[in-house]
This record gives sequence, structure tokens and C-alpha cells, in this order.
Amino acid sequence: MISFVLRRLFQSLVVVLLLSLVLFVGIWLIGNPVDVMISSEATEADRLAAMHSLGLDKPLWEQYLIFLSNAAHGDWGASFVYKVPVTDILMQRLPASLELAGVAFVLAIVISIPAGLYAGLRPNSPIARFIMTFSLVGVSIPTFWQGMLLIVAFGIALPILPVGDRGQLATHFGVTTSLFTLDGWRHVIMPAFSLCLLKMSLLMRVTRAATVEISKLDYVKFAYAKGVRTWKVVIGHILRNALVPLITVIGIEMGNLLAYGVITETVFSWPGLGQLLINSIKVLDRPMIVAQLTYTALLFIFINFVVDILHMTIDPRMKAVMGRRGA
Amino acid sequence: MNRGFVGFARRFAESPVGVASLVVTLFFIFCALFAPWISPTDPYDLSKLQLTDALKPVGAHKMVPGEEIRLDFAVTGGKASAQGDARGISAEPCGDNCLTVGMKSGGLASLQIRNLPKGATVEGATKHPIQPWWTVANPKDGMVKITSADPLPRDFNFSVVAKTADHPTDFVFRLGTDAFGRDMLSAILYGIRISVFVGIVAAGTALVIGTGLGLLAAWRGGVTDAIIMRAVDFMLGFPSILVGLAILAVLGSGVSKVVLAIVIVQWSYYARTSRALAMSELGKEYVEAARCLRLPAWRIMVRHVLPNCLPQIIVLFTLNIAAAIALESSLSFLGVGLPLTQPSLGMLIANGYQYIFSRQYWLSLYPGIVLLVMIIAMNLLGDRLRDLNNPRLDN
Amino acid sequence: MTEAFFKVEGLNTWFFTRAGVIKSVRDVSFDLRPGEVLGIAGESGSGKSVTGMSIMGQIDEPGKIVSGSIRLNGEELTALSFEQMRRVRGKRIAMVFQNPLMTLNPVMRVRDQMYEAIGEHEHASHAEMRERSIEALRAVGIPSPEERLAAYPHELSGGMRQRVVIATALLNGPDMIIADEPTTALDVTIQAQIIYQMRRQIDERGLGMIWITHDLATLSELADRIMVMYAGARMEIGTTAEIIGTPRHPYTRKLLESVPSRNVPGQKLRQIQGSMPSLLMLGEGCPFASRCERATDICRHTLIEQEFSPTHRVWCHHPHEA
Repeated sequence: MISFVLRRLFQSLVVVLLLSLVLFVGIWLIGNPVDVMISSEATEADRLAAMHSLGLDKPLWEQYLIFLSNAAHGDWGASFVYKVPVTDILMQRLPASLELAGVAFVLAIVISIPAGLYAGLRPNSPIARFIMTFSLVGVSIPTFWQGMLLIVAFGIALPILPVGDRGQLATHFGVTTSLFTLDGWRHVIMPAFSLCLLKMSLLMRVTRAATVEISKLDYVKFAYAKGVRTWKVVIGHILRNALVPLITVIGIEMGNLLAYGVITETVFSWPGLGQLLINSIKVLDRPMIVAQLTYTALLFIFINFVVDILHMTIDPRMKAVMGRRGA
Repeated sequence: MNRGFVGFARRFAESPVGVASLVVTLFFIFCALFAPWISPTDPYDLSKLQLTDALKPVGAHKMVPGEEIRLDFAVTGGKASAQGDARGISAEPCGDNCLTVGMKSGGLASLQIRNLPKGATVEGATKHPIQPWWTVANPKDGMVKITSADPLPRDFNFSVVAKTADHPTDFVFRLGTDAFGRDMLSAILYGIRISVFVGIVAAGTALVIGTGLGLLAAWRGGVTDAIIMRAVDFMLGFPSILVGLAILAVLGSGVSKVVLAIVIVQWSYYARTSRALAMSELGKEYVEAARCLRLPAWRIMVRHVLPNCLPQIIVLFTLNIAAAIALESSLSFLGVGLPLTQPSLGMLIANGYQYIFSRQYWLSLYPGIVLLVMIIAMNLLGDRLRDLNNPRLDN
Repeated sequence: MTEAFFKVEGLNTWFFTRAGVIKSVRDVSFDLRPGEVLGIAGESGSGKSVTGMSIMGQIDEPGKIVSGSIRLNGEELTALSFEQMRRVRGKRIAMVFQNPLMTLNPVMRVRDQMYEAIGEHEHASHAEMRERSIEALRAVGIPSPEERLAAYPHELSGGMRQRVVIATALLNGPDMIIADEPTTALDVTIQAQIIYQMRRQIDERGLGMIWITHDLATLSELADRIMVMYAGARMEIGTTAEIIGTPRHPYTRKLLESVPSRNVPGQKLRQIQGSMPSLLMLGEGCPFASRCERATDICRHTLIEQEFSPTHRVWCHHPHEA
């Protein structure tokens, strides 16, 4: 078990290094950010001075090593545009993104698993048909368009929810978040729903498929034959086995929530990391792009890591497989 | 059981949803292929666009914009005559101290009379504060009256600046127009063309590359397999939108770059699927037999293993076209996808985004519906094909 | 002979599918006495498993028990509510399934799956449940049952798992057990052990058992009486000696002829020509008529019952001579 965890950690580290290298070189290929930043009347001397001040005149490998050693110390360099350390900007924007993704994640799980379970247990009921149609539209509808429809419906036609920004913040227990205020909730609920719709629909379909499949299995029939109450069969036998494939999907989708935040934050003008990333790409703010993409990748690698561990605790059969692989 | 294409078609036809999704998908492919012939206008022809048509709602007529007519009149012996091409503007006396000027057919947005002799004025007009110019907006029946307390001189000159009103043509914008006055129906048809093109080319290229690598991994095994599959795991670890964004951040926008980004995202799905299928195929006796016959490796793979993987690959292809279209539209929406000059559906929706707050909903509603229906149809089609391929669902 | 404690009369279980009504069980009646093993034999699709699931009240949509009565100690099971029926399942009627690899939940420990069977029917302390589980496991011949309790199913062999399933079925001291092909998926040597254990439990506890199988060879060793089913209907019912020794129905004969162990070595195995008719298109007549060499016109229109002894009945116009 421990050797397995260590191996996975090592693998993850290699992936992170590889990724940062790919990104660094890739971004370097796009062009010199100085050309975008300096005014058109600037002289060649100005240009060189700007490059020198940003450390862009050093050879590429040296730039990368400097970047790497700084990154290891938590220093991602200064944004070309904002002229302040990238970390500060990221930290300032992070709470908004986490808020949105967190609410979306909880919303997705709380709605999709019961709905999928129901649709799988009563596949022919009208409610199940509704759930399936809803989820089909949900997986097909592009996130940005669906967000716009929500804005039209609840922000304009029926103006009951505010559009844009996080709303009022409040600090309790040393945490500042908009989730402590009603206004904050009013702001977050629509973007969160928009963000989670795709994931929710996907999870519904996966849950339903797993439920349908598992319901037909002998151990479920055997559980009923033992006289086990229906809800206990559903929770203890069907759901518990359905969780095995679900954990993987949930893990991947949780990461996707942060990635799709890029779209949702743009549609809803949410002051989070996603919006920042898009703006950084548009103005070629190199340290910003590299830091954000690396940070997201780190997050993904971490999630994959956790999913593997979770898998092992839920499905005892995995332990045998993993143990063998790890040995 | 029922093998062959006819049997497959018959089983496919058992599901009305499947048939409907196929019909809709074919319809969109038809639109994509024949967009230049079926669309009412060419949305890429910037010279045909006119601002008078901008942001017109659904069902509005295309307008011929009004024009300005400048004309000098000379009155000699009480009779007025136009100096030059009158273009429907006329002036007739209506008594000693009265002259009517205008367009008899009506349809004037405004009429301005300049340089009248002293004492003359124009009925119902506003006079320019300094210049001797009298302007009547929307003159009744297109005519204005020049009057004077004293009789008008026998000979004098004056000028007319007439603006004809915009007037509708028979051409109807069935889905309204965008901010450039572009017919949305045509833009959507061309948008479908671009989206379908990007989807098919990207998913198709990914199919060829991914399946090739998957088969290679399955055949060679060992280090080749390990490298390819680690790369697949690596790719699958990250969400497609982020990979696409990162690639376009590096490469910049453009059709070929979007296609490339989608290929980089999607090849791994094919590689994983085809490798798994090929591995199970390679374990079967007929492959062993083919190996014993010393058939070349590529021949066994292409002639024996590939055809057995194909049904599932095709299912994946159908679903991936839909995914590619969705990804392209998302990237275009974010402004890193396709260029503005050739809008895909995603770009059309993005362009319309700013207008939803002023309730000009048609700009993004209709392209959105088209995009949604297209993606749903392809997803349903893929699901149906998968169900037919899945022996477990046979009973 | 003791009185029958369990009676099925005129059972009809139909499935209402989109393609039409599938009459999986048609007019089936039988009874069961304490300490008796009734074998239900038939090919797949004969309705034998559906009969078992009907008794358990576990027919899933779109299936339904259309008519008939199922009585356990005089109590009408078809009239019970879902909750009342739940109290019967596992407590008074237990069931053992075909594939031991699939019957146990892979993500639950053996003990949780066994405790569950007790806890759903009575309040028992943890120690008591453990005590009874160990006892049941030991009764079916599982070595060191204390250790097995903590195991996950995948850590046990197929035979071991089937013993766990049987032990679970025995936990609440049921009146009867329905076993649906419990040994089909096992090796022959394990099969023999399981059959031996089952027989011992039946004899010791005096419970009734319905043994559903396609394998007449197993039944000849285990069952007291045998009912042969075909396409949802009874063909022949009688004591094991009567069915194996003097089969009357042409179908029973064919079935026996296709059992390898009964054939002379070197002789070709006899198959039954044709295949079972679609359950969607059954008429009033004998369902086997289309494959039967002895069939005449009357077979296609009516079906009659003939009694050869108080225990031996055959549904056939042209039964074989003894």
C-alpha cells in the first residue's frame, strides 16, 4: 500500500515536471510578450530594456530553470500585465473559483445520484423518462449557451437573480466568502447550476446505467431474497456497488468543474481564475498562463491520485490488483 | 442472427429515436455540404452588408436604404424646372404666392429647401438657425408648400435636398440579422458548414491517428505500448476544454489550429479503445493462425483485427464529432477559436451574447438551438449504434 | 406420509412486454412436504426459474402473477403486502441462486451479508448474530468459519462461496429453501459435496426444498419427486423412481436420453429435434407437439391430464407405455 502510494507520488511528480516544461516551451513559441506590451513608438533600446527587466534575454533553458526553482519556492514570477507576483493574483482570485466549483460540485452530487438511482430503479416511470431527457439535453447543451439561457430566463425575463460578480462577502472563522451572505448565495446559485449541469447530467446517466446493471445482478436478488428492506438493498447493495464506477467519474468531473469554470466565469462575469486565464491568454501574460495551467494540472494529478486511493477503500477487489502492481 | 447491412439497418430502424437522430444528422450534413446553394445570402460577402439591416428582428424585410437627392430648381416666368435629373422631385406653382415641392409618390424621410427668396418660407418647416434652410421631416404625401406673404418673384432659384425613406424589399430575414446586418439564417447555415467541417475533419484525423497508435501499441507491446499508453493516460487526465485552451494559447486561433487542438484532445480516446479491442482480438485463434501463416503484421492488423474493432470505433467517431463541435464552439465562444470573419455556430452565439441584455435574443437563440439539436442528434445516433453493437443488450 | 405444508395451485406468471404477453408459467400446481426435495426440471425458458421467483414474490416488471395461489402453512402468499412478503423472504422461505460468484455482494464482507439476513428479521445482538453465523457456516462444512466471516467474497473459492450462500439461507431456520441450479456453476467434485451438505440439512432440519435444474442426473440422486416443465407448463410429475424409471411423457424420455451418464459409452448422444416454440405464440394444445414424434392433430388443440398412480401424472394424449 505504502509503496503503491509512493510510486504514484513519484509518477505524479514526473508528470508535473513534464507538463511545466511543455507549457514553458510552448508559451515561449508563441512570441515575445514584450512586443505586445510596449508601445509602438518604443525604440529598440526600450525593447531590449524591457526584455532585460523581465529576464527574457537569458537563454531559454536558463529561464526555465529559474522559473522552476522559483516555482518550487512558491514564486511564480510577476505578471507582465499587473506587475505584481502571480501568486498574489491567483490567491486573490482563488476563493471565488473554489466557491463556484464547490457549490456546483455539491449541487451536482446531491441532485444527480438520487435522480440517477431513481431512474435506474424505475426505468419506465414518467419521472425516470423526464430525468433521462433532462440529462440528454444536459450532456449535449454547450455550457456557454445554457448559461446564457439561464441569464435570459432568471436574470432578464424573470429578474429574480443577479447576474455577474460574487455579491456581498462576509468573514467568519477567518474565512472570507460570499457563501456566508444571502446575497452571495443569490449570486452563486445560477452560475453554479450552469457549471454543474453538464456534470450533473453525466453523473445521472452513469448512476442510472450502473443502477440498471447492478439491479439485475444476483446479489441484489439474493439480498431481496434474504428479506432485506428495499431502502437497505438500494443503499447497501446497489448504490455501494454503483459507487465503484462513480468514484472515477466523480473524480474526473470534479476536476472538470474547475476547467469548465473558464466558460461559466466568462459567461457570468465571475471574478475567478477562469476569467483571469482567458484574459491572460488574450494578452499573452506568460507567467500567468504558465502558473495557472500548471496549477490546474497539479490539481488534476492530485485528484487522480485521491481517486485511486478512494477506489481502493471502496472496492476490496482493487486492493489485490493494486498490491500486486505495487509490489 | 441477422448479419450484414440489411439486418443491421432493420434492427436500427426498430428505434424511432434512432431513425429520427439519423435523419436530423443527415439533414445537418446536407446543410453543411450545400450551404452556399441553399442559403439566401452569402454571409461572407462583406460588400452586400448594409447597416440599415443591422439587428433586425425575425421576419423583418431587407430594406433598400434611402438616398439623398440634391437638386437645383430654377423658376422662370412662374414655372419651375429642375436643373438636372429630377428623379421624381417636382415643383409646381399653386397660386401667386405658393409653390409645392416634393415627390408625388411619397416616401420621403425629409425634405430641405434652401436659398429661398426673401419673404418666402416653408409651411411646417424648421429653419436652420443661421442658413436659409428649411427642413420638413416626413412631409405629408411627400410634398411641402413654399409660401410667401407677397407674391413670389417670377424668376428665382432654389435648391432641394431630399432624403428618400428606406423602403422594404421582398427579401425577408427569416431569423433576423446580426449587428453587421448579416442574415442570420445564412450565417447559421454557413456556421453549420464550418462546425460540421471542423467536427468531421478533427474527429476523423483523430480517428486515424488514434486508432493507428492503438493498434501499434497492441501489436508491438513492450516499450512502444508503455509509451503510447502513458501518453494516453496523460491526455485523459486533463479535461478537453483545458487542453484545447492551452494549445490555442500557444498556437493562436484559426480553423486549422482548432482542428489540431481537437485532434490532440481526441486521439487518446481512439487509442485506448482500439488498443483494448485489438488486444482481445489478438488473443483469438484466427490471429494465431494468421501468424502461423507468416502473414505480415500490417496485413493481420488491417485485414483481420481492424475490421473487428471498427464498429466500436465508428460509435466513438459519431460521439466524438458531437464532442468536437461542442469543443470548437466553446473555444470560439471564449474568443480563442475561429476567426471573426468566418463565424461558426459558437462564434455566432458569442457575438449575440452582448445583445441578450437588450432583449435581442434571436442573435444567439437560433444558432444555439441549431447547435443543441445537432449535438443531441449525433449523441443519440452514437448511443443507438452503441446499443446495436452491444451484445449484452440483445435480449 | 406427512401433510404438504406448501401448495402452489394454478399459478400463472406472465410478462407483459412490448412484443406481446409472454406466458412464462402456465397453470402450474404442486405441493411440498417437510423433509422433501421436489425437483423442477426443464430447459432454459421452461419457466422453472420464474416459478421459483414467483414463490419468492420477486417477479420484476413487466412480469406479474396473473392468477393462482401460493400457500405456506395455509397462509396465502400472493395476498401479502410487500412488507409482509419481505418478512417471509429469508425467514420462512430462503433462496439459493445459481452462480455463487454472483450471489454475494463483492464489496461487502461475508459477515455483513450474513448479519444482514438475521438483522432484517429480528433484533439480535452482535454476539448472537456472530454465533449463529459461525454455526451455520460450520453446518455446511466450512473450515475455520470465524476467519471466513471477515473475508470478502473474492477471497473465497466458488464452492466456498456457495456454502456461504447456503449457510446464509439456513440462518433463520426457514421452512423451505428454493435452490435455483445451485450447483451448475461448480466443479463436479464440489457439486457432490454441496449436494451432500444440502441433503443433510434437509434431513436434519426437516425442511422442504425445491431444487430447480436442467440436470436430471443430479435430481435422480437428490430429489424425492420430480416435476418436468416445458414452455411454462407441466409435462409430467411423479416420484423420482417414476420419472426416471418409467417416464411416460415423450418429452421426459427425450430429456433423459440426452443425459450423457445414462448412455452407453460410444453411443451418439440423442438430441431433441427443433427448438422451443416462442412463448408469445402458444395455443391451447401441447407446447411440445411441434417437436414430438408421437404428436397427432389432437395434441395441437387440447391438452389432457392422465393419472398413472396417485403420485404420477402426465399431461399428454399419447404417453409411453410403462
